[in-house]
Amino acid sequence: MGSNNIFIREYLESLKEDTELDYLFPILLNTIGFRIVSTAKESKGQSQYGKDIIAIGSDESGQQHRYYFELKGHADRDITDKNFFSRDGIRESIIESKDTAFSDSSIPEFNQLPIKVVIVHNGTLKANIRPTFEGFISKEFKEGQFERWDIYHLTDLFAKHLFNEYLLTDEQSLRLFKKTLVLLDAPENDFHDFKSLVDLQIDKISDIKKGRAFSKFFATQNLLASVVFHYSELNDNLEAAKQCLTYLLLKTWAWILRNKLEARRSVKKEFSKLIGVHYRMLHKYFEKTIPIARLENGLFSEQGGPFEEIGYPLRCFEYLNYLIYFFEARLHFPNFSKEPSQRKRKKLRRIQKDLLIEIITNNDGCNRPILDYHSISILNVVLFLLQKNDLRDEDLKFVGEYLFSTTESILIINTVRGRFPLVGSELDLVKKVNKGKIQSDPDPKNLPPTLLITILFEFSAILSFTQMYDDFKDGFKDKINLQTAYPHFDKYDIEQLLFEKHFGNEFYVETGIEFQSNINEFKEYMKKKENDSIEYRTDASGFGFLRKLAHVYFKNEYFVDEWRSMYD
Amino acid sequence: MTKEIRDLVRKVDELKLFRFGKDQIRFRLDPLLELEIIEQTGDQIKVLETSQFTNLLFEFYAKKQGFALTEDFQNTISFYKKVRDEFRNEGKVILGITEQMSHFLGLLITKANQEFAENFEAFALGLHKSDDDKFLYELNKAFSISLYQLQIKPGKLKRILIHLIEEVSENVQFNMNLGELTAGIRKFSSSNPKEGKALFKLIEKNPVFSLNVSVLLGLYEKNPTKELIRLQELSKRDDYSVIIAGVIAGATIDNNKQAVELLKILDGIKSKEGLYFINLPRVYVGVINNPNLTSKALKAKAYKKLKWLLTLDDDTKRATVWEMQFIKDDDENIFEVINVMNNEKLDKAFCSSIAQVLDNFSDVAFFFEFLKGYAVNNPYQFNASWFDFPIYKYENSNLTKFSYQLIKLIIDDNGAVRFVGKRILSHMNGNNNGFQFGIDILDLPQLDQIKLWVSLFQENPEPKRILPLLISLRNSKYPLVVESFLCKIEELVESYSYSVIEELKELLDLRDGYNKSIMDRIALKYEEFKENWDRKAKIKELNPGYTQSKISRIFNENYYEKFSEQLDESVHENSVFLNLVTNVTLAKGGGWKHGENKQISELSAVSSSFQLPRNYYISPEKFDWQNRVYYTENWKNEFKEWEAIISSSENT
Repeated sequence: MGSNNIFIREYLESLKEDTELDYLFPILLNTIGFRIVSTAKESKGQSQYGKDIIAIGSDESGQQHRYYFELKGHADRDITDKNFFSRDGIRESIIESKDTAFSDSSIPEFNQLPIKVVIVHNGTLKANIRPTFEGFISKEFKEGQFERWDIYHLTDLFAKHLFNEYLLTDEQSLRLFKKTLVLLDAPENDFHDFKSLVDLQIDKISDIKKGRAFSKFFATQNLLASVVFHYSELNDNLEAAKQCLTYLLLKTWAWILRNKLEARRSVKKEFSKLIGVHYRMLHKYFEKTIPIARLENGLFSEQGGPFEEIGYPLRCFEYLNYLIYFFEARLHFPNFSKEPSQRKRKKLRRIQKDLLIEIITNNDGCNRPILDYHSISILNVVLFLLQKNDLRDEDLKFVGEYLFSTTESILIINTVRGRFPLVGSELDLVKKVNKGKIQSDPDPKNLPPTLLITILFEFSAILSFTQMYDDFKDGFKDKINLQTAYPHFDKYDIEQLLFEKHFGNEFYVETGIEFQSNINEFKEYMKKKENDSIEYRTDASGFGFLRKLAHVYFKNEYFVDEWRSMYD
Repeated sequence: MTKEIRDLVRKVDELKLFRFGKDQIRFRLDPLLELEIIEQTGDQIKVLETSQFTNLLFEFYAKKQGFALTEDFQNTISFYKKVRDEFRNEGKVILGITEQMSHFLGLLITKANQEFAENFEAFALGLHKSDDDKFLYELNKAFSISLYQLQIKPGKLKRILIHLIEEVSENVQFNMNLGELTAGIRKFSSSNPKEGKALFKLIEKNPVFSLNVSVLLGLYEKNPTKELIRLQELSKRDDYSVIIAGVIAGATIDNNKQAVELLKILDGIKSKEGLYFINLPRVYVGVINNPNLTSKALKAKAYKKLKWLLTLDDDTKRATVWEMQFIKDDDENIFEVINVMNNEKLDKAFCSSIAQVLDNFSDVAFFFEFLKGYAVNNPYQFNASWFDFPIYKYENSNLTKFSYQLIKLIIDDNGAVRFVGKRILSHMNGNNNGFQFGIDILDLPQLDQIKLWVSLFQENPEPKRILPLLISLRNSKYPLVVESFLCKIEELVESYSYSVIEELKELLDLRDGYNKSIMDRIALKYEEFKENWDRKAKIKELNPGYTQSKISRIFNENYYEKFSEQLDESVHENSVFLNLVTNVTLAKGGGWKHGENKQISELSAVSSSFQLPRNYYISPEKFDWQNRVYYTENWKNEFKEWEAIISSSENT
C-alpha cells in the first residue's frame, strides 16, 4: 500500500457514522456514478430502517440496482459478536433494511429495480463472528443481493475515485497534499503548502461554473477541509484547521464572487457545506477552549514567559475575532444562508453576549491593543454588543467600560513603554518591543499614525461618552496622527479582494484628523467625514457574517460604513 | 647604642625589608624600642623613620658602595637611586620603603646643602614629571622633609617651589605630594620666620595659592598676634580673599579670641569668588571640632555658616558636605545643617558624600528623618546602595531602633517615603541576606500591622522575602489582622504559585495544629489554581509554543539582550520596579515558575527561574504602572474603612 493509501485508510478509519462518514460517502458514490436518492441527513430524526443512503447504481456486470447503504462507523466500525447481536445492532439493521421497502415513484422504474443491501463500515469483520455473519447472510440473502464494503474496499474506492480523480491528478497537488499532512502540526508552519494547494484547485477550476468539474471542485474543497480538520483533531491541536479552513473558505468565496456565482442556488448549497465544515471545526475549537478562556486570565499562557507581554494580547484579540464570527455563524446554523428566527436569535444572543463579556472581563489581554489593526477585534466586540435588535442596558454599560479601559491601557503602555499600537505586522511589533522604551519627544511632523485611536474616540462621540473624551483626549493630542482608512470602492472590486488579500493600495487614508475642544464639536466634525458604502453581494446571498471572517483573517480594517452610520 | 642600630641596618640590608618578624632578629631589641628606632606589634618589627637610623643607613651604604659626598649632586642622586633599587623587588610590595627612602634622600639633600652649599635650583628646575614622574615624587617628598633645614636664598627657593608646585599640582596622583610640599613650606616658614618673611616678600605680589598660604600659615603659627595684622591687611586685597580663607582654614587656633579675630577677618572680606567659599567649610568645621574653642556662640555661628554654605553653588555644597563628615557626636546640629540639602531637589551625585555625614549620628532616628525629607523632595529617586554605610552601620549597632524607624518609613502615608523604606528593605534583603526586623511586629498598633502587610504585599512581594518578615502576623491578637493577612497569602498563590507553599514549609512548624491549619488552607487554594493551570497546559491551541511559535521564538531570541539592558538601566536609572528585584537570577531568560517539581515552564529553548509574580507576565506594562501608582497613593485617607472596622470592633 502506497503512502497515499495509508493516509486515506487512517483517515477513513477515524470517520464517525453520524457526521463524517455520512458526509463523505455520498460524495464517493456520486463520483463512482451512483444517483443518490436519499441520504442519512435527510432522514435524521426518523427511523432509518437500516438505510442510511439509498442510491441507484450498476454492479460490475452493468445491472442496475436499488442500493440500500447501511453505514457503520466509529464504535461500530469493526463488526464484532457484540455489536452484531446487540439490540439495534448490525444484525437487526440488516434485517430491517431488507424487510422495509423504500419506494420512490418519481424515479422511473425505481420501484422495479432489484435491491442490493450494502453494509459499509470503516473497519473489519472480526474473525470470531465471521462464520456466524456469513451464515446469516447466506440465509437471509440470495446471491448478489448483499455486499459488505470494509475499510480495505473503501480505501481502494476513495483512492481510485476520490483522491485520484480530484486531488491527486497532478504531481503538484499530490506533493502539496502530502506536505500539508506531514507538516500539519510542525512548529512555525504557516500552512503555505495548504494555501498553495487551495489556490491550485481554484486555478484549475478557473471559470467553469457548472457540470461535473464544478461538482468535483466543491467536493475537493470539502474533502481538503475535512482531511485537515480530521488530522488537526488527531494532533489535538485545531489551530492548523482554524488557519487552513478559514483560508479555504474565504478563497472559495472570493472565487465565487469573482465569477459572480453568489446568487446561484446550487453554489450556495455547496458553499454552505464548506461553511458547515468550518463551523464544526470552530465548534470543536471553542468547545475545547472556552472553559479555560472564561477563567481569570485564562487566555494567558503560563508557558509563554516574557513573550506574553505581546503574546497574551495577540492571542486574546484573535480569540475574540473568531469567537464573534463563530457566534454569527451559530445564528445561521445549520443552513447558513437563512436569517434566524427572532426567538432563536434572542436566545442565542443573550448567551453569547454574556459569554463574550465574561471572557473579556476575565482576560486583561483583551483590553490591551498593541497593534493598530486590533481595531478589527475591538470593532467586532463593540458592534456585536451594540446590535440594535439585541441591545441590553448591560451591553451598553459594558461597551462604555471596555472602550474606557482599552483607551486607558493604550495610554499606560505609552507611558511605561513609550509606544502606541503599532501600524504593522506582528514581527514589526516584536522588533519594536525588543528595542525597549525609546525616550524621545515625538516629532510633530512625523507622529505615529493610528486608525484605532480615531475609532475609539469616534465611539466616545457616537455614545456621547464625555468622560472618556475629556479624560483621555490630552493624553493623545500632539502625540499621534489620527487617521481613517477608506477603501477605493471606485477603483477596485473591494468586496471580492476583501476575501483574498491584505489591503495595500486598496485603501486610501485621511490624515491629520484633529481633536476638537469638546465631544460635541468632535462629533459634528466627524459626522461630516466620508461614509461611503456599497451593496455587498455577500450580504445579499445571505452570508453577510462571512465578511467578518475576511476582515479578521486578512487583517483588513473595517470600513467606515460599519460605524459612521451610527452617528445620530 | 649605635651598635644596635648598626646591627639593625645590617639586618635591613640583609633582608631588604623595613618590616620583618621578630624571630629574624638575633640582637637586642630593647634599646631600639626604648629609643623608638623600631616599633613592635605582636611579632612584627617595624623600622621607624628616625635621623639616627637614616644616618647609619647612609654610612652603611656609602661604605658598601664606595660613595663619598661631593659637590656633584647628580652623583649623589645616582647613589640614592642605587640604594633605592637594592630595596626594589619586582612584584613585591616592600612596606615602609617609600617613607624610609624619602628620609634617606632628605638626608642626602640636607648634607649636600650644608656641606657643599648646594641650592638645587638647577637640579630641581630640570626635573619634569614627564621625564621621571616617580623620581619627581620621591624628590619632592624628600625636599619637603628637609626643607626647613636648608639654606637657600629666597629668590632661588621661590623658583624651586613654584616649579615643584606646578609639576605636582596638575596630576591627581601627586595631590598628596602637594600636601607634603605645602607642609614642608609651612614648617620652613615657621622654623625660619626671617627667611619665611623674605620669601613672602618675593611672592606677595603675584601670589600662588598653595605657596602663599603655606608661608603665611608658617608665619602665623610662629607668631599669631603679630601675623594677625598682616592677615587683616592682606584681607583687604582682592587677590588675597581666597588665600586668607585658605590660611584661616588651615591655621591652628589655640583659643576663642584667636578664633573670633580670624572669623572677623573672614567676615570682612568683600571680594568673594568661588574658591573663597570652597575654603570656608574647613574653617567652620575646624571651629566646631577644635577642642580649644569653648565658646558656644562660636560653634553656633559655625553651624549657621555651614547651613548657609549649603545654599550656595554645587562646588561649595560639595566641599561643605565633605567637611561635615568630620563632625561627630552632635546629632541635632549635624541634622539641622545637612537637612538643608533636602530643601530642594538633590543631585544624586551628592548622595554618597551625604551618606558619610549621615553615618555620624548617634541616634538612627536622625538618619531616617533625613531620608524622609529626601524622599519628599526627590520622589522615587532613591537607591539604597548610595547609603550603604549608614544603613549597615545602624542595622548592626541597634537593630531594634533601626527596624522601628524602617517600618515607620514603610508604612508612611506619603508614597514617596514608603518607596524609600521599601528600597532599603529590599536592599537589605537582597543577596539572600535574610533580613529580619529587630522588633516584634505584633507590638505595633493594629492599623500599623495592617499597613505593614499592605505595604509589603505591594510591588513585588516575593514569598521568600516578605513572608519571613510578616509570618508572625498569623499570631496577632487582632483577628482582623490575622484574617486579612491569611487572605493575602491565599492571593499570593496566584502570583507565586508553589513558592508560597515552599516558603510556608520553611517558616511553619507543621506539628503545631494552628500552623497546619494555615498550611492546609493555603495548600487548598494552591490546588484549586493548579488544577486550572494543568487543564490549560494541555490545550495546545492556547500555547504560544504551538500557535505563535515563530514570533515567540524571535521575541525570545532577543530577550536576553533586552533584559540585561533593562537590568543595567534599572541599576543606573533607578527604575521603579527592576531594582527592587535585588536577587534576580538570570538563569535562562524569562518564564513563570509554578508547580511542585520546581521546573520552570518551558517555551522552546527558553525558560527562566527568577521570581517575578505572574501578574508581571500577564501585563508587564500595567504591572509597572501599578507599582508607580502604589507610590503615588497618599495613605492619609486610604485606611478609613479599616479604621472604621477596627473602631467598631473595639466598641463591641
